[in-house]
Amino acid sequence: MVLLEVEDLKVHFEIQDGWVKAVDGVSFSIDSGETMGLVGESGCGKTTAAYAITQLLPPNGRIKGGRIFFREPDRVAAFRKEYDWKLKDSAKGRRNEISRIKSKLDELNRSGRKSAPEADEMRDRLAALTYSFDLLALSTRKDGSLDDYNEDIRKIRWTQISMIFQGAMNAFNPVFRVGDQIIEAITLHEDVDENVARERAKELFEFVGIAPDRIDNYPHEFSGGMKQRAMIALALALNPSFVIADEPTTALDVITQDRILAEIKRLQEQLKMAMMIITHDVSVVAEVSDKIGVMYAGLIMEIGQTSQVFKNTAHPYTAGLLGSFPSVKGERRRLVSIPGFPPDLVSPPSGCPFHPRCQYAQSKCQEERPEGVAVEPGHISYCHFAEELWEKLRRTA
Amino acid sequence: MRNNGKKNVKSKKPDARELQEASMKTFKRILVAFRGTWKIYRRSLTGVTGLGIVLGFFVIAITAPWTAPYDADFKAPAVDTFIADYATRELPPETNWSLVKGLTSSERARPLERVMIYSSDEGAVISYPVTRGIGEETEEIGIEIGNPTIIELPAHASYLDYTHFYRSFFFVLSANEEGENATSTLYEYDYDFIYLREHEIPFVPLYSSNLWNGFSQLYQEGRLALAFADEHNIWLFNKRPPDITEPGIDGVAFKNSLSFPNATVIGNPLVVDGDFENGSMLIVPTDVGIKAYDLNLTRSLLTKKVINVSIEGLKWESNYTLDGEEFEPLTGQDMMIFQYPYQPTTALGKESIAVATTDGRVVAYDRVTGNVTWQSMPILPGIRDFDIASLHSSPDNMIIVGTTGERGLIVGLDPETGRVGGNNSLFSTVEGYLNSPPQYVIGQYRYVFSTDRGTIYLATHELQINATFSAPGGGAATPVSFLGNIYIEGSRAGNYFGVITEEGSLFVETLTGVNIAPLPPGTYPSGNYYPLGTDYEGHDILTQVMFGTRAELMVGVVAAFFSVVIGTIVGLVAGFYSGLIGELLMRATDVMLSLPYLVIMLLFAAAFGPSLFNIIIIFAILSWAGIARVIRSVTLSTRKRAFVDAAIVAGASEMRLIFRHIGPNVLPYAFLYMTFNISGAIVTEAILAFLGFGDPNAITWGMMLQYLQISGHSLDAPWWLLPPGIAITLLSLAFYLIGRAFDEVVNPRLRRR
Amino acid sequence: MAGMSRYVAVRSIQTFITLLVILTLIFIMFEALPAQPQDLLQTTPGMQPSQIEYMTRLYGYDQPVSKRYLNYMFNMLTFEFGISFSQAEPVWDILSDRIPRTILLFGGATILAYIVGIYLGALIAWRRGGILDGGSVVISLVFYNMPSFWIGLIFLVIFASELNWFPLTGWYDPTDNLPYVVDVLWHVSLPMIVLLLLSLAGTVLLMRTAMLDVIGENYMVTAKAIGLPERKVLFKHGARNAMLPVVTSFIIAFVFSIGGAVVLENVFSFPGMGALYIDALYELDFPVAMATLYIITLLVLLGNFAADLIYGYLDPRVRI
Repeated sequence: MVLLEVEDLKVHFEIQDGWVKAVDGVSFSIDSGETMGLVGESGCGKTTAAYAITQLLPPNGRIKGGRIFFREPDRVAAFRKEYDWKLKDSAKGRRNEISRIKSKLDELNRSGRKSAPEADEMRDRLAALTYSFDLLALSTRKDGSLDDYNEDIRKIRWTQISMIFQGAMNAFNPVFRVGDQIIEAITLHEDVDENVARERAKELFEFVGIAPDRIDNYPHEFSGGMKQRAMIALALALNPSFVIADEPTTALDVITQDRILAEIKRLQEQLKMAMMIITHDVSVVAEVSDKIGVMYAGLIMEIGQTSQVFKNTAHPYTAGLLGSFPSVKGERRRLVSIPGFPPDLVSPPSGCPFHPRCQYAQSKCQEERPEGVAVEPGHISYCHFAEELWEKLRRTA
Repeated sequence: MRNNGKKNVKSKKPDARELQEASMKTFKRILVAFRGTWKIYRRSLTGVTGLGIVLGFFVIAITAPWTAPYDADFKAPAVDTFIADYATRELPPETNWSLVKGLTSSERARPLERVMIYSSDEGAVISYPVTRGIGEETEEIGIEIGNPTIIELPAHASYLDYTHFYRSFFFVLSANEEGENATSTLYEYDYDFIYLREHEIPFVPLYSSNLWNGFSQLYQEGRLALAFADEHNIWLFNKRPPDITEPGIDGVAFKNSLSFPNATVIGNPLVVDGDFENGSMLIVPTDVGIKAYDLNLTRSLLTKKVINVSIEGLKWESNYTLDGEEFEPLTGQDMMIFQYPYQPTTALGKESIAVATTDGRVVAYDRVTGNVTWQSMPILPGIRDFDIASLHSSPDNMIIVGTTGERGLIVGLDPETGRVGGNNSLFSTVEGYLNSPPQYVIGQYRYVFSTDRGTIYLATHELQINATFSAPGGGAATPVSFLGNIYIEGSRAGNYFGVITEEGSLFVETLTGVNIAPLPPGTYPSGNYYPLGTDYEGHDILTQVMFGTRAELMVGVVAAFFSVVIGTIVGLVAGFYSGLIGELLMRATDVMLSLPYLVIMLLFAAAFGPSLFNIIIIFAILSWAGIARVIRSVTLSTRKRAFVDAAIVAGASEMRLIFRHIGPNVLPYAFLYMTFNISGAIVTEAILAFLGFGDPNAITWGMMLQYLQISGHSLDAPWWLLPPGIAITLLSLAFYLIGRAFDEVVNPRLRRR
Repeated sequence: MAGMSRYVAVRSIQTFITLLVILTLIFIMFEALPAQPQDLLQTTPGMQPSQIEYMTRLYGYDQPVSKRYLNYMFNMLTFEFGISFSQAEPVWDILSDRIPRTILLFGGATILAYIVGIYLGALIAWRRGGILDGGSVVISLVFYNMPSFWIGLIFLVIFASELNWFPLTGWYDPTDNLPYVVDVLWHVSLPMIVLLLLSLAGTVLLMRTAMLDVIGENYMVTAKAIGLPERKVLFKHGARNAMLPVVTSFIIAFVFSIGGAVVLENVFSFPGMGALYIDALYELDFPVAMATLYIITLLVLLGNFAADLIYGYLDPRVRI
């Protein structure tokens, strides 16, 4: 079942010199229980894309387009896709369809068949037509800015989607006890006694491998690794169905990194929650994700199952990215870095943004933004020459 | 690099070209650094605004003498600042009316009740009641002249005088017949011109004494004395007015006479007294000298009332010589005065009799002994020749009225020394000759007098012309006379003067309580335009604000500079010697920070006396702590940087390290905090000045507001209240904004906000 | 909590030592003044030599400096201030009425300024970039640089003289026919509002800066991500942290505010310690000036001590 579907997301930031097109049309989906890794260099828009889901953008961020469907029932999604294909962008057609379905529903209501499967279908169709599972529709204002503290979004935050933050060092408020911050999250969303919440916090601590009596400590009394574990405990506090981990290991030493990754793996196995791991570290992704999205300059370059992307690389950028990291498997090869620098996102290159650095670039790359090419089932590369290059780039395992 | 440079300096002297190149390099480096700073700085809108404001104030400070509408010590002329309550009344035409006189009531407060004029031609007196009414100009409660009463006087009445002592008395003198054996009659009237009695004088007087009245504290008894003289005779009239214990009895008049067969009386005699009980004297100027006689008072043994007054023998005689040299006294009515010094420090009995001489001197004789106590030839800056016309006495000074060329002259002499004030400044000259004695305005420490040009002057007790008046229709026909005071409830009390105008009407105007300064902005009768109005003394506010900029900038910049120097040195040392010395210095800094500095500044300002210099020093001493802290932390971080280590290795001395290597790095911070401190110093100066600890000799915005407060206009003169405060706020804000903008240059972390 | 009590103990000792140092400084300051009380006695007109001798002994000016210093320290710490020069009354009697008045004015204004300033500063930083932010910053900057007495005079003109909302001067006027407390509050409110506005300006600017720093912190994102409502993110997590540097600068604000109180007492003829102090300075009444200065300093130090305690409560990191 698809848990999260991001469709053509565009997030831009307003700065003095213009607009930073941090995310400029990104689509992906994550199934329940699936872990997706979003990789790319710093500044490629991966964090922005993830933060747009829980709507934690800085005040100058604007949603310039796209939809984020969360926990949309499969049938609704199917209807939605059907309508999108059928109605294209015709607003009038959509309005007509909505009124038609509404009248049908009314008819069913009047005839006392409210709970008939037919009525359910109509309701699902209506939901699909009105995009009622789109998180962005809940809180985007006319100018594209987000109503940060929208009630509906607030209810989804942490109960449904929680996060493990990049800088766990500072993710806890230094003036409150760590335990209190977990208790705060629990009591905020659940109508439970503080003692109950406290017990839960202790359990969570135990679960992530911290002594339960440490919940009365302040953040500054924790080590870096402990803070990251506490962060995980906090993220799990309300048993969310989806966890976004933003660079969960970046600030940690190698040994702690390893432990935290192991911890995350264990969670996936035990709790069966969906995860999205944002990182620049390909090795992290390789270890824990089922699926990988490679981002560059605000766009997805390649997306697919981890093994597909790693083995049957179908995009020159992915190839470059993989080439610049040492292999996890310990195989020896020369590290090759990609020549040139990531583009300025205020005025990104025309066509494929990677073309100035791409050794396979041709004139077409400058002119047209590439469409996704499905090289394998579920493996899409956004390259004009994906088919041709696929064989060339495929790694010899 | 630095190391090499240093060695070169030691080993051989650099030649001029090298030096020049080095200095050019430094200059270029500074220029580049400046440009870089400016590039970042100019992005801050507030910073550029602040800089603009400060530059504007600098321009104002420098150009104030040319751009300000008036001079720094300009005061609005009296014609602008003075509005007087007045009343006029048409007089019966075609009569030569003499001086206006004011009649005050017999009550203790003695408000003006009537004004009186008389005509010797017609032998009549017109008396107008003075009442409260609506003033003609001020339209506030003021003076009103009522309907007159006309009193017929005896024929040929040539003299009229009056006194008030519990009740007023009028004396009218009238010559009986012409010729060799002519006599005259002194008529006595009471307050309401009711005839009381008359006295025969066996001659026709040429001179009359001051109408003197006094009161004995010891015997609770009042006296009146008046003497008349012709060339060889004196006739003294002495009277005890009725007192409260004996209502109805208007007292016995004692008459005495003296004759001078061998001498000629040349001026008005004087009736003087010491402490009244003893020492009453009659002083007569004759052509051979001044003759002083004791007046002997005989008292009833029972009631202690005076039952007789007689002229005793000659007490002293003094001829007109000084150090063996003769001088020529002025003759006439005002040749001689009696001066009783009012200063409480003067012992009793130090009164002087003063005589003016024809060569411009004043000679003072001791009342009791007749010895010359001083003689004075006044030195008046800028005036070479002058002639004395008359002498007058006032509670403050002896006053010489004279002429210098075409101008009238009025000079004040210290009664004890005969000097013209402390620095020969107690004089004024006016257009035309004085035609009235300078009359002392009670309670106002001023004099009123007029000239033959018909202008009426009001002078301060230092004889500086304070205001000029003129009667409507071109001027006064008679000398001005001070009439008295009228108390008006709910309004101001006024001292009134009166003249008869050239158009033949009675004009009465007040001198007091009608300074209308502070003036609101506008154009005034003198034609002057005061864009922001004036203060209480008539200083143009805009001019003061503009000139005030100089002191403010000076105090702000200098005080801040010194505080920054102290703070920087403390911070550098504390940062560099981070051991015990540094720790001690930082503790001291913390203590300084927790001192209520403004409160302590007030203490110092009170104790060291008010001056701009002291304010600067006090500010510098108390305001360095904040800077020291910042400089210390910058020093600490700079020390860690590699190049300092390099310098240490190269063997630089500690002083060199601090000032050559670390100094340049802390300099931006020192400058930054200097701008903040300038802003603080400006406000601090204002506060000290406002609370009365400012420099009274400087024009500062704080002093302007202090004067506003102490003159009691803080609630009713917004044009005076607002400009200095706005100027302080603006200048302080401007420096503060510069600081904030510069802060962004120095601390790039702040730039994004 | 052991950490906290140790923290309190350390702070108390530090405050006491600072007090001793400041007392010594005050003593040195008065010793260094050009006009000495002994000289003042000599020049007072009408003083008989025997009187001068008596007064000199009474005020202890015949003793050596070291002895005087010890006496002085002991007297100050036991609130024995001696007798006023100008009023021939014990200084304590003159001063004691005025202390609570100044505490009410200055303490009230300072505490209110802190509460309002922290709230306002946090709020305008939260909505930065808007008209509210720009306007508040400009107004605060202007107020921050205004001479206190001037704004006091302007308020006096507008609200007391023109609008007649507040009395012009004083502390209590029995003819108002109001209950004592109400009348006192009515009298104290205008100077307090002015002092509040002046102190507020600095606090708002400081709090805004601190809050802007805090907004960028990761824990703020965490607080938001958890799903806390805006109010809680802003105040519980944001303002709570941004307050820390503001509370640290309490002493500077206290010093600023007490200066303002002294000035405003004189503008509003408010019979507190500030007005007494200025009068004592005019008359060079050293015992009164010294005692007032001491009490004012003591107030500042106690205020700072309280601020230290609050800081210790607010920031767990210092209680070690």
